[in-house]
Amino acid sequence: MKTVLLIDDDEDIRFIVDTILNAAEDFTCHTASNRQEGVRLAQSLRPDLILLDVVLGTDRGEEVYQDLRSREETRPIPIVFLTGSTRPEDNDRLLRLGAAGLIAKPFQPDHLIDTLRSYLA
Amino acid sequence: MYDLKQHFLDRLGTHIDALHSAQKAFLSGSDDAVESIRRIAHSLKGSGGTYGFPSVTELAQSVEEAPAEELESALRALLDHLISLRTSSRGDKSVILIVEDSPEDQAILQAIFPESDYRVYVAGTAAEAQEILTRHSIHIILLDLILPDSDGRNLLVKFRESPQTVHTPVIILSAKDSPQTKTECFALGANEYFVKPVDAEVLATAVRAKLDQAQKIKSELRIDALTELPNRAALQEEFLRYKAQSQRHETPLSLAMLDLDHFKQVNDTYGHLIGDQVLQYFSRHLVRSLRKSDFVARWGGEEFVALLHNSTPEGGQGALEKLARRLKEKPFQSTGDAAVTIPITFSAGITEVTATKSINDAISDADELLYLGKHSGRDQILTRKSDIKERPRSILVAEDDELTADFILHRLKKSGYEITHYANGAEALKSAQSNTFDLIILDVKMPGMDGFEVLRNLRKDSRNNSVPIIMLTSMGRENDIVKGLDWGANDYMLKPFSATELLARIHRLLK
Repeated sequence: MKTVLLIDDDEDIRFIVDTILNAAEDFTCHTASNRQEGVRLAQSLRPDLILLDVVLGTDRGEEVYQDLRSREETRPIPIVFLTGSTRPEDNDRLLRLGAAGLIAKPFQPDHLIDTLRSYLA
Repeated sequence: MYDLKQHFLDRLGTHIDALHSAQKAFLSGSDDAVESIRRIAHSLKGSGGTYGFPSVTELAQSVEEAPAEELESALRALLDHLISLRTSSRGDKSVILIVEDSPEDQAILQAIFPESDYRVYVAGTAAEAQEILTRHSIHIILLDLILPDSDGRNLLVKFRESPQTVHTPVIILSAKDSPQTKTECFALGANEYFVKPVDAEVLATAVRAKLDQAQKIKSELRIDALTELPNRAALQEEFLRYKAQSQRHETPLSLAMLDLDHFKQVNDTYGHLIGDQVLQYFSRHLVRSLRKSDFVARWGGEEFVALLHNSTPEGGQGALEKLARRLKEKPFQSTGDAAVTIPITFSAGITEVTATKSINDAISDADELLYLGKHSGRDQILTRKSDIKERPRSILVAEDDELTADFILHRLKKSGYEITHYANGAEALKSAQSNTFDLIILDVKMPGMDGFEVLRNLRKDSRNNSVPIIMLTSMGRENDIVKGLDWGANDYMLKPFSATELLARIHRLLK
């Protein structure tokens, strides 16, 4: 069973990801709606993977990314960005940061599961 | 299984309201409005398609990217689309019964309620009205007082006497404008009284208002406010429906009764606010772990009942076992500054609902199994009495000396006990406060908190005030023994001790 932590301020996305992952046999999903809660849960849960929204209210996902990278407990956890942007330059920038991958919103439930499985394999 | 589409439809109202208010602010020239419209659109763009509505994503994207001069029209297109989605998702039409003998009046009334929004039945006599009521479920009745075969007031009395129509709104339409008649009708249970000729607009509004009110009352009567699950009254209705269906299709039906373990302690330790959140958390997971065709209700307190359609008790057991595992992997976490993590387990009894079983029979059978589970260690899902598992006994060992700890752990594990070990008193105490152990072994001298302090705290804790505790004391410190026993320890061991002796004492205390 793989544990995934989703950090996203959008209630709909939290519901969707939580529902999709918990319905799958091999995932457990936890969610956080802001940076503070996200970092706290990442430290205490040590998930196998973090799904991180690019825009978290007033916080930028990239800053949260750096924050998670700067902490010893969360440094090794692969981070996948959830992005609403379709501009290649935005996505390139995120990948250059060292993110494990990107998932563009909107996504198909099966696509989410398949992508996460491939990152965790 | 999950239903993302339905969830999106349920939440549509929230999105529509948010867009409406942003639209209003935009039209009145507010500076923030544009940004907030684009923000909502951005979020809908991401979620709409994921929920299974690509059309929402497209329209939301055009709002997000629209140049200022096109924003208003793009927003209107998105709103129209959301509203039409909402309208088409509400499939059920309201059903009106018109009791009126004059053909002209019948025609006038029918014209007020278009077929697109209402289903209308018309009765020309009291007998016809009663006949229609035996065949159809009616949401509201419009009643003329003068009928060829009866006085409308007599019919009104019959409506109020019949369980089927006792709460159905009744609007009187009469040519008589006398206070006496009006008073009498209200006394007999009429909800409104209009004097003919009735203004179409007024009547249409009154009917809509009464229907909304009745709908609200009906759903409030059947929904538990805290968990938003159906309540006991709703369960009683659904039980009959599920049972009839199971007999018609010859498919098995099971009833599960679930009860959270140690819930009283959650309330005592963390307060009712957290207790309520735990109930909500559990409800959500319970619903999610069952199928859409199953029915879940809050029975009361921390008890829940599920009707499992086309499922044997063993099938239901599988689903609930998955829920139990899920809850173990994902304990309740409160949000906010003082975050707490509370493990949740539950006990359940599942019984098959056979043709002869009433709801009370089924509940009492499931309840009996549930309590059997409670008395044999909790955290069990039983479908028959022989399901009770001999679970390994769990022992908490708090000992910082590595050699002693290794020695104890090795021997206890070999004897089949489940061991949790801490080398720190404070950590051991924390673990005991959130888990249930069958026995606790405490060393006196430990970092974090000494064994006596741990012991004192455990005995104050409702979860641990009767769990057997063995203290480990060093030679030459016999005073410690007295102190330990005084403070509520059940037994002691003087170091060094033999494994056989420790096992014998554990065995005796666990009997």
